[in-house]
Amino acid sequence: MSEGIQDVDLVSGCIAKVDDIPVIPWHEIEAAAQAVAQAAAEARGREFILDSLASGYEPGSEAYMDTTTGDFYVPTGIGTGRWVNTTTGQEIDHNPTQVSPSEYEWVVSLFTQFHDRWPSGARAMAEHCRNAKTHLQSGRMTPIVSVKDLVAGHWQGAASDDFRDFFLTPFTNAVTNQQALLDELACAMYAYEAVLRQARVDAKNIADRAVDVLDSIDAYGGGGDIGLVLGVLGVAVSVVSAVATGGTSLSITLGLIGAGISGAQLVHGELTEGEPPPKDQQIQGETVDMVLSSLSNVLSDLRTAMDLEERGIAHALGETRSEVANLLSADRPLDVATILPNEPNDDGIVNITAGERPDPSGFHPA
Amino acid sequence: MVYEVTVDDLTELWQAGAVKLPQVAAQYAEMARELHATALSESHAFGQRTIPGAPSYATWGGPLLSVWSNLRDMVQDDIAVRSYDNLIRAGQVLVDIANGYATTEYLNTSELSQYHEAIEDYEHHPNPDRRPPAYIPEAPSTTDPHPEERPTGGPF
Repeated sequence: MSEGIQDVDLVSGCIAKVDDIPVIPWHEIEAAAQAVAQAAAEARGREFILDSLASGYEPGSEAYMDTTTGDFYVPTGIGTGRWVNTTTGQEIDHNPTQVSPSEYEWVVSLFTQFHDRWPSGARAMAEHCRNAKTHLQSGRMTPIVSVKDLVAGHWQGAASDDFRDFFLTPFTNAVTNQQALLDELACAMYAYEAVLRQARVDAKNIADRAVDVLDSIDAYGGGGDIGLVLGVLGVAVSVVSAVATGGTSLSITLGLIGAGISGAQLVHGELTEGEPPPKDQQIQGETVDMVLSSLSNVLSDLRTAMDLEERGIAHALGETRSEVANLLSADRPLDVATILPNEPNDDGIVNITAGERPDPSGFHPA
Repeated sequence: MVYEVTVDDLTELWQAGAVKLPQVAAQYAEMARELHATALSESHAFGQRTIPGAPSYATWGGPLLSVWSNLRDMVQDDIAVRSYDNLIRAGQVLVDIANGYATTEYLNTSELSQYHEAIEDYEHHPNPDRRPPAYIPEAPSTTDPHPEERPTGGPF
């Protein structure tokens, strides 16, 4: 009797972690960025009034003129007053100086980098890997086990022995490792999907907070300081940490799912170049220019954090790639058989897996 | 030297080569097909979005895509496709070996007809899992075209 195939399912927990993060459609980020441009334009219009008031102010004067519109502002107390039309003398709703949002179109383009990649693309790639794995499940691989038992129990000869020892016998273990490799590929895509999703959440949050600060700029100054958190920092590690560990003995080393916590450390960016930006950030400023400069800095940090997460996944996966490349090119056929059952080419024995026909002495009844 | 073979030995060997190994090969073909399909989503996942009304981006890639697709290529070409090829070829050889022993040199006429009847029964076995697969999909390599027209997932 032979041992069966040990099935591997390591990444189910990762999916739940990713699904905890909402998917914000790209056009909602775009709309939020447009709202920033709109808010900036409106705040700039109010700033013009402030500038006008300052330039039109003369000590002792009873009214200030908005030099852009020609309207007068008549103070009625500290910080209060009313606007009066120059010609009619009627109190009016002052029409603030108009600034076109198109002047702030560049702000919208700053957000593109956070929604131009699709989380759904990463998910599709992960799902294909998981589907690929279903074809290697023990139930579907059962025939190889019975062929191994048949050849091992009833046939012998040099070709038969080679076929058994290098191809059929290592097959079950190789299938387990192949399953783990497919989970590794899937895990990388789930972690990456989480980065893409969370970067969108962060970008949307940054845009919304920037609007809040810009809206607080009025004709009398204003602005302020709103704190926020870059959630994307560490999001990949949270997904990789959800890998099921224990209970599975693999004979290959995997950078992400096999290494468990050490893989998680990799994703933290500890072994990637560059320092992570601070997790706590502020959108701040008393003028539109100051707020937008602050916004630009926060977005730059978000991009740095996003890239760091991606490089962390790439770094850990690179270890797996090296491991697989080394195994595939290993000198010993049984090392290669860790992931690819194969018969040695240079031992002078007929290779059944190469389609070569042995004569009866190479493959005969035991 | 003339070896002593039994009809059961030969029938089982034929079955291993004609039914079981091709069944396993078919699984590796499906594995390769799934991995092949991942390439369709690369441009969306890594920054080339082309849908009506949305900006499109000419460049895409990044550090993860290069590593990931490289590992995917190895798993698809060097593991799935090669296993598929190995299994298909080995299956044909086992059938050839079984048929090679099915001669008057090794079996008497009665045993020979038993062998041929047994194979005939397997060829038309009512249980599709017991007869040779009627169709085994090709195992695509990474350089093969993508007959599928669009990736799964999206647009978001």
